[in-house]
Amino acid sequence: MSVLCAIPLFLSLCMSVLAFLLKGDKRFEKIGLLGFAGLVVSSGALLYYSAMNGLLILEIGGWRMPYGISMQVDVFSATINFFISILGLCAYMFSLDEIKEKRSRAGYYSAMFTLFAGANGVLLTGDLFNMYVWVEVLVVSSFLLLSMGQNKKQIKGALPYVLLNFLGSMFILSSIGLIYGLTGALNFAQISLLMDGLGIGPSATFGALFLAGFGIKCAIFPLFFWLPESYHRPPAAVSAFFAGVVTKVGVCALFKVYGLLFYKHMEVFQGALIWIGVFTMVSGVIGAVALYDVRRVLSYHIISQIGYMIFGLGLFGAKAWAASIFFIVHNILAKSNLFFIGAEMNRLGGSYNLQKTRGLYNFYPLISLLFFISAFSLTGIPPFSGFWGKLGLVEAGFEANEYLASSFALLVGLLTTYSMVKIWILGFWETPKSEKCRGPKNKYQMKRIVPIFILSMLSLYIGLWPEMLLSLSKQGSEQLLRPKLYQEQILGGVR
Amino acid sequence: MGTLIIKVASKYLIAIILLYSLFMFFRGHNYPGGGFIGGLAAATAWSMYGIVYKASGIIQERLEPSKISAFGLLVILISGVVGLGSHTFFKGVWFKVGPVKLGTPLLFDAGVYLVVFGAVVNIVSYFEESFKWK
Repeated sequence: MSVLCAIPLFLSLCMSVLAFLLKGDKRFEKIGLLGFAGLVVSSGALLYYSAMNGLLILEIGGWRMPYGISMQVDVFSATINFFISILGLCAYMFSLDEIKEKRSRAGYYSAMFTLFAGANGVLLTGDLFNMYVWVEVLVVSSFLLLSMGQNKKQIKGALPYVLLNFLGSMFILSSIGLIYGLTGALNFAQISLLMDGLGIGPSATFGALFLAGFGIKCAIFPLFFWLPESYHRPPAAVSAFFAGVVTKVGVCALFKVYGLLFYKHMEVFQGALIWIGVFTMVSGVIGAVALYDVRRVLSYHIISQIGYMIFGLGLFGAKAWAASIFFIVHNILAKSNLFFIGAEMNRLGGSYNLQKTRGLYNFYPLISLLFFISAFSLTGIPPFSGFWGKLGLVEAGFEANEYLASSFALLVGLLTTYSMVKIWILGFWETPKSEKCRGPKNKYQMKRIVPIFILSMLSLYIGLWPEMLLSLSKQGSEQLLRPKLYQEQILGGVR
Repeated sequence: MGTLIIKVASKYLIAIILLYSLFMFFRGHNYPGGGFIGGLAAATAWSMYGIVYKASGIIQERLEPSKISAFGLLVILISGVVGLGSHTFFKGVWFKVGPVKLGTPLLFDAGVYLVVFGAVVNIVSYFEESFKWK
């Protein structure tokens, strides 16, 4: 069954080539849908087998483990991979209606599948340099998606993103180079084994370099300013895809790297990570509270949610990491869905600006209900999915005696609620004044409402019945935090 | 760049460079060389033809270079699937055709050759168009 490890990656690369050869062709629409459905199925199967067996390993090309490149799939990667492929399916459906022919002729779908291949590669690979290569694949195709409209505003937004990401890649690459120079290994398990014998110095250096590199990519505290500039400009499907895939993959890579490679000297990073997390949440949410453009509010919320994940990473313990994994999954679903709904608010109500789009509830109750579910999932109101993640994080924070940081997490939750309530009251709840009452102008579109519906229902499902995801994230975090077992499982036959 | 000297010289040069690129491509299995360098050399010959005879537009229309790249990627992926018989991707499989041994690594390299060739020709022809080289 270990062949499954590479199937999602391989499938998305094949679909990317096919999309390129058939670009601008109407016939591709169904093939692409089939491709994403295949991705969901294969990632689901991968998740099932990795949850059953613990760890799946595939040696690419049949080369033995520490020498050749291998795919190593643990429960954590498989879980995230499964949920981003669901998001991919939804984003694809949404873009079938949203993306105009000019963009699809320019290779939009091909770039989307390549981005997906990059994300799959980062999550599933077991080789540090290979991970860097997939990060580059992901980042280059995301440049393409960001700048595809070729209007001046988009290029202006994309430029800082491009430059900063190159800087981040450089940090990551130099760290990998140093690790290779010091240990002579690139396989995660082997590096993990060899790092055990080294002192605190190398771990601290490499960990800091990785934090800077992936920190730029996932927009942590001092490095986040590119995100609100670039994320709200492209079409909503792209923004949603970015919010759910690109930034989250950066966070997941950090979890994997810290859990497997630098776990022995985690106390060096803990304080820094926790406070970077807190600053990230606070600065993100303050931006969101001040703004009235739905897309920009959501972009700032991405930053604030990344803060929670980094906070969880810094708490470093099976409980905190399980909560973080749960939180990442919840965020992939709820946050991206809000971008879709934001685009619907624009289409149905006429503008992204809350001062213009008002009182949608009077004409569009369904979309209002779906917004309600996603928005209050994001804020962490009890029956919804965000509650479990935040509860776990804050609990773990109190247990680790980080009272001040945890209270900040709670305060940020309150401000998140405020900014979501702002959108809810102004955009949906308010009764339009009689002279401005225009009646419903636009109709729902199947291709747009179905993905929103799927994501909302999934988000609702993991809120109401969280047991399954909780046990998966618990299993994933325990696996990440037991690198000794990991080393034995992978290198057992070699040593 | 349409002087007589260059026109005559390029005819011979293009043939030599193309042969050289094939030589590099086949040499690559055991020695320095391979698909990447071979593709670069072939792209040099191709762009030389385009610049000297101002024919890049025609090349673009007849054979879209970006599609060559995509096709090359497809070849690479196919070479990955062949090894699935032994339960992993990109496993080397070798066939004997007379005295010559052919295998999936060669197919993979051919894919790389096409990807690099297409990409470089594409980039060069964009430059030619935007700078109007003479």
